[in-house]
Amino acid sequence: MDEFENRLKRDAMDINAEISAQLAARIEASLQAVERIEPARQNHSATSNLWWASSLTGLAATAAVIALLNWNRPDPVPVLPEQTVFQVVPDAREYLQQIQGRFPLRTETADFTHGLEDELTRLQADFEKARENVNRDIDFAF
Amino acid sequence: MVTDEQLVAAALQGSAAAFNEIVERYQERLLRFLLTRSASRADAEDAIQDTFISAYRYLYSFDPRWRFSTWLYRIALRNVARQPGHNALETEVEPVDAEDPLQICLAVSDHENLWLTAKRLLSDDAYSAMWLRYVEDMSVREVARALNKSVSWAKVTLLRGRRRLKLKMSESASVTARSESYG
Repeated sequence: MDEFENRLKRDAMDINAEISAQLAARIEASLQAVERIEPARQNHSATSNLWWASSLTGLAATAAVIALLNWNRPDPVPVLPEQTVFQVVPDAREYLQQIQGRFPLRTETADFTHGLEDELTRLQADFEKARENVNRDIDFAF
Repeated sequence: MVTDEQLVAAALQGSAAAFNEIVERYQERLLRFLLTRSASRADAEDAIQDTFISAYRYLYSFDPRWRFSTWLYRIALRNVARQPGHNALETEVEPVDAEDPLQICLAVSDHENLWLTAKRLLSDDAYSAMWLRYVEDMSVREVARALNKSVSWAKVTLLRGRRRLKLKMSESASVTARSESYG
C-alpha cells in the first residue's frame, strides 16, 4: 500500500461517523418491526406432474402432425434418369457436325459505297468550313 | 472470528442476534460512506436505516458467491440514489459548501481531507468506486458489482480517479512548500 492509499484511508477515518444512541435505537426498532421476506417455496410434486403432462401433450401433438403429413402427401414426382437427358439434348459439337452441309451458307457483298461517299464528302466540307472559321478568328485575334 | 457469510446463514435460519451482529459490524463504516454521499446527516441516517431494513427483508436474495459488503453497499447506493436531494447535488457545479455533512464531520487538520477533494473533482460513481476500493478494500470486480458496472469501467474509473487525486495532491503540496519558503 503506497502513501496515497494510506492517505485515503486515514482521511476516511477522519470523518466522524459515530452512531448516536438515538440512531442505533431507530435501526433496532425498525428491524424488529419489519418482516423478512421468504422466497416462494416450489411445490415439487406439482412441478413434476406439470412436466409429465406437458411432455405427453408434446409427444401426442408431434405424432398427430407426422400422421397428418403422411396422410396428405402428394404423389411423388417422376424423376428422369440422367441418361435420358443426354439423349434428348446431344453435345453441341456433334450437333453442328450433323447439321453441317444441310443448309446453304452463302453470303453476298453489300452495296453501300455510294451513300458512304456522300457522307464523307459532307464531312470534309464541314471540316473545311470549321477550319476557315478558326483561321478567321485567329486573324481577328492577332 | 465468524465471517459475514456465516452470520447471514445464521440470520436466514432465524437468528436475530446474527443480524444484529451484522448491523454492529457495518453501521459505522456504512454511515461514514453515506455521510459523503448524502445531502445532509439526516439523509445519511435515513439511508443507513433503509439499507439495513432492505438487507434484512431481502436477505434470502444474497448471493454467497460475493462478499456480503458488496451486496450491502449496493443496497446503500440504491437508497442514496433514491433520496430527493441526490440529483440536485449532482447538478451543482460546486457541490461542497458550508452545509456539507462531510465538511462538518471532518476532524480539524492542516490539509484538506482528500475525500472532500475527491467529492469536488470526481463524479458520484467514480467517488464511490474510489471509496469502495481504497477504504473498503474491495477488489475491482467487487467494486464493479457494487456499482452495477462493468469490470473494465471500474478499472478505468479507478485509474483516472487515482491520477486526478494524485495530481491535485502534488499541486497542493507544491503550493504549501512555496508558501512555507516565502514565510
